[in-house]
Amino acid sequence: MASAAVVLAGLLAGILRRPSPLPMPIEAVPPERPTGGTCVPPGASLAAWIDGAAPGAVLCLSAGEYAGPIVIRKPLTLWGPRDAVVQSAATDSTVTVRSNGVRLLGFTVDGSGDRPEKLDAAVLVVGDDIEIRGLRVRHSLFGIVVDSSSNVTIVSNDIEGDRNVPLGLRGDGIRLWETKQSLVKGNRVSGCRDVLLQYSPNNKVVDNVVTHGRYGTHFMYSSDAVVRGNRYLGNTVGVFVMYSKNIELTENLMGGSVGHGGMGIGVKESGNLVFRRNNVVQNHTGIYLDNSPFDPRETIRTEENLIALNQTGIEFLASTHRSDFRRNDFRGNQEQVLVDGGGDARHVNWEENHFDDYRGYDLDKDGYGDIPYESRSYASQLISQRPELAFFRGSAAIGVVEAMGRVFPLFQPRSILMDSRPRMNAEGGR
Amino acid sequence: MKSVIKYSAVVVGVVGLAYIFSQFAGGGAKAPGTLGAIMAERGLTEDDVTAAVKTYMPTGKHDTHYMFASGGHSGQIIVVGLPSMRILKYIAVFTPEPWQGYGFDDDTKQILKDGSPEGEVLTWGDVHHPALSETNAEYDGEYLFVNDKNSARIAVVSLKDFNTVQMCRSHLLQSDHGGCFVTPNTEYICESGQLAAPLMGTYAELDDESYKKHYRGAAVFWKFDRAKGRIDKAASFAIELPPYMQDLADAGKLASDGWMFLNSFNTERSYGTGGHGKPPMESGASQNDMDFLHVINWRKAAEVAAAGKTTEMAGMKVITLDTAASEGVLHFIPEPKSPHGVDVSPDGKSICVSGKLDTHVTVYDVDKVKKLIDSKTYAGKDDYGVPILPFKESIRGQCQLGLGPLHTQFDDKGNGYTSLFIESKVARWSLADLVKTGEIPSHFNIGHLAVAEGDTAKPDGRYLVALNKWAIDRFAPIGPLLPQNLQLIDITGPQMQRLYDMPIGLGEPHYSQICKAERIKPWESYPVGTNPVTHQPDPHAIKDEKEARIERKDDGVHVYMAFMRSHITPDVIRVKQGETVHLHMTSLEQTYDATHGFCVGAHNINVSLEPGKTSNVTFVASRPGVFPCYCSEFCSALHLEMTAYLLVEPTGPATAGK
Repeated sequence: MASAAVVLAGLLAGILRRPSPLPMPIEAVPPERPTGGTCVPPGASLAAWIDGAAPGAVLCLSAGEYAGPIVIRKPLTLWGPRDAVVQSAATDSTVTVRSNGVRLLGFTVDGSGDRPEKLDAAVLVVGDDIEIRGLRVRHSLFGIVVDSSSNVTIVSNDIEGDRNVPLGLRGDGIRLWETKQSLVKGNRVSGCRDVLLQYSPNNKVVDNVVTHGRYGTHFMYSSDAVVRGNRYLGNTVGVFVMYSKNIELTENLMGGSVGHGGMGIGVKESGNLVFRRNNVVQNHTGIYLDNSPFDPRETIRTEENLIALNQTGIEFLASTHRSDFRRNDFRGNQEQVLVDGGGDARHVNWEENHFDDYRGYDLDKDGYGDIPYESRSYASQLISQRPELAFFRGSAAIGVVEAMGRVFPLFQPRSILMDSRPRMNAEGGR
Repeated sequence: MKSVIKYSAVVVGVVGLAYIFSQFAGGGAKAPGTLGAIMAERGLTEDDVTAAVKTYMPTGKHDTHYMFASGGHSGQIIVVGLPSMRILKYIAVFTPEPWQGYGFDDDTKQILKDGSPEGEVLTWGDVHHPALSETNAEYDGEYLFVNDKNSARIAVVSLKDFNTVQMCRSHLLQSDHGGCFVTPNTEYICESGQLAAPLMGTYAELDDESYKKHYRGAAVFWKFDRAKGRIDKAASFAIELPPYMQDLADAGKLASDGWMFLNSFNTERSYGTGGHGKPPMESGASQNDMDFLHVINWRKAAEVAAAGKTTEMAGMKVITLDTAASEGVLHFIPEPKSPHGVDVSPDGKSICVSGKLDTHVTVYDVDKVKKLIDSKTYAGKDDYGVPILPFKESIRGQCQLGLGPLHTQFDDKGNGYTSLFIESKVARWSLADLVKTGEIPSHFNIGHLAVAEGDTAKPDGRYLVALNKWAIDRFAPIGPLLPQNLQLIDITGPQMQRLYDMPIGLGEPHYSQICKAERIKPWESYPVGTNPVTHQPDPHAIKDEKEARIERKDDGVHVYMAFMRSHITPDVIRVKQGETVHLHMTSLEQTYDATHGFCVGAHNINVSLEPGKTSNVTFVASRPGVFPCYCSEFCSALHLEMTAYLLVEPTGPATAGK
């Protein structure tokens, strides 16, 4: 047991030690004070200053407390250092933007009301051409909520929820509804519920770190998105794509999604997706495909990913069609591939993947196995019928079942998948 | 150490099992017909074989449970025997069904008319939620109620003869969903609206202001008169509700007796684009993070209605929203958005709600809710003045189950079972500890589930049926329109086992209830001359073949007919073209299953005449000619000879048959 943990930790450390081209967002340089701003002294009525400011004004906060809630109804820039704190009055959203052309830069927003039915948030935005950069958000129900907006830039914010609050009672860290052409980049979201995009097409989610939440990023009817360079750790689900299409997930890390329904990437009834060079590591299920690709005109391409140390690498629920799995590394998964409901995954395209349980050879030394990789698992068949047996994965009992299955053909083992040209060496992931 | 023992036990067990099966599979594999050979030939696992054995019914043995499943678009209820999953009957409810003669004779035509808007007879229904009558919050096996979502009406089915006996439409609502749910002693049958519209079917513009002002929901409380076995419309009442799109409901019991809980999913009051660029409905209705659980004190509401604090609308006593709020009849509690089921635990203390996009079931604590109401601890009021109770203070906790929890029922061991729509699974969890303890995959997009007597005070805990929305590749293909399907699951053991997959090729079963068979005691036949709708002696019945006759009265020709195998009396019916004909048909049989039918050639006439039943059919003989009639249900060796003639003599210039 202990040795397994060491091996696991070592593998995970090895993966994480790979050089990363991405800056850690939390270390992002705070936004500089804009030139020509008007100083608002601490303790002043920020609401009154905002009401009195001319459209286009730049207001600068100083270290100290400012009373919320505030509502901004004109184009305006509000900057503050990290220790300038807009304090919630424990009701409503603390900073509400109802205008186009507003910039919120650098300061801290502390708290919000606690009415989930009213979406009480640290920052609530309804407007176009908005920039929210370098804010620190603490103690709020929802973090940043954007409604019916476009061209919103949410960059380098640090949103921390309370991990002691049960998941279901938390608000979302970042929540976009009916919001388009926006950028969510370099934020750190921790201990919140979801980063949610609902009915929000044409957005980019890049370089964020999302930990200890429910859905690291949840696409719900939100198509045409790019998800790149994010790190999802310890969430219920890394990225869940539901009822959406045309989404690229590249160079993300999805790890430690181990709870009930835990999965690195989950897909339900979606298509035209590309998963490329992601590290999908140590999840209950690495990638879960439920009836996806959904439309016969759609495909899913899963390429060059590292799929490692998951209980199940890839789980199919009636999704065994129009998918390509190319040049992925399957390593240390207790079950590489599981097909629910008695089918197999022989009708998706497996090409040049590396499987660490490949028992073939490479006599011609071209880097590819000379015989196909074929997965015929007795345990898989049993476990897909009796999921509670998954508890015994890797245990002696399941080993006995496997062995007995070979000695006494209790039932014909199904061939789950075939890769006719498996790679000998691993090189997936980023 | 303990786990080592456990592991060893498992290893020994598995080896032993493998050995036993190897005896079948290995030793007997070559002997055709042995279990091992059959298993090998068909590729069956031991799990498959135990499942088959658990559902197999030797000939003549009865199933132990009845399931009443909604027939969806078919407008019918499907009666299924468990565990064999054999279909026993389609009960015709909202749709004419010729085998039963339903919607073909005068009385059942009147039922359909009673359930229709003025000037039109609806001939289909979207059947959603059957509810068995209850006594002390247990099924009593006497009546079944069911709603039609599309036209907002409910029907009463008697389980004495498994026939529809009444249909009621409030004319307040245009669609319903929160029905039927009965109070613990079937005092009331609750039916609440779904897609908001102006009450009473009036017209109002579709824009923000008009929607807020004129569009409404309502909860109708139909008073059930147990002695008569029928709904008493005059003693029924309704509560006006905001246009929040009410969804499912459940009546409280024991600790929560006197309360009704009702979900909603559109507190945003979205109504789609409105033709003027608003977000579409599905987006607009999910803007908020929470909707409102409606907590209705129905006992208080009944008092308010009895005290006359109502407004009459479409002949229904309605408690207005203002009155409901001021009299403490209605409270709201925030609930995770777009919930579906709201399910009261067997002891009545916990109310389980799950948002379809959530990963938890949220368990409200009835005591806490009552205390908040008593102390008037409100988090605010909604736009209609209804008090809102604080969410966190109302709940006992949440249990993380998986993706897309939808509907919960219970077993007899303190477990809840929740369908996980997004994951296509059933989760089992401990109601006391709020901890998930198991799961089993289902087919695609599981909707509701039913546990045997699992929504009563005393769940049976034997079986669970998953009602799955999509079949995709699970059955032999039949073109683009695929069946929904039911899956029978054994929940008695520590591990749930899937036993049987049952495609339903007739409408979409939304919801079902499973009742122990011993509770239901149907009649074998009717006393001769019984009207199947009133269950009283039919005024036109005859008791003897000698009473069979043809009489001409002011309103047309009355034909008093007797059916006894294998003869129809009279077997010649002569009428004149244009005459109104009244057929009064009585089966004189008393023998179990000696059913006759009667159909008239080239006419829309067919009735079923179970032993003792009297059916009445009125029609105008508009076409002259000779129309053979026959018994349309096999009755004896001389069934083919059980015929009659209808002669319609032309009144104008003769065209044929001099």
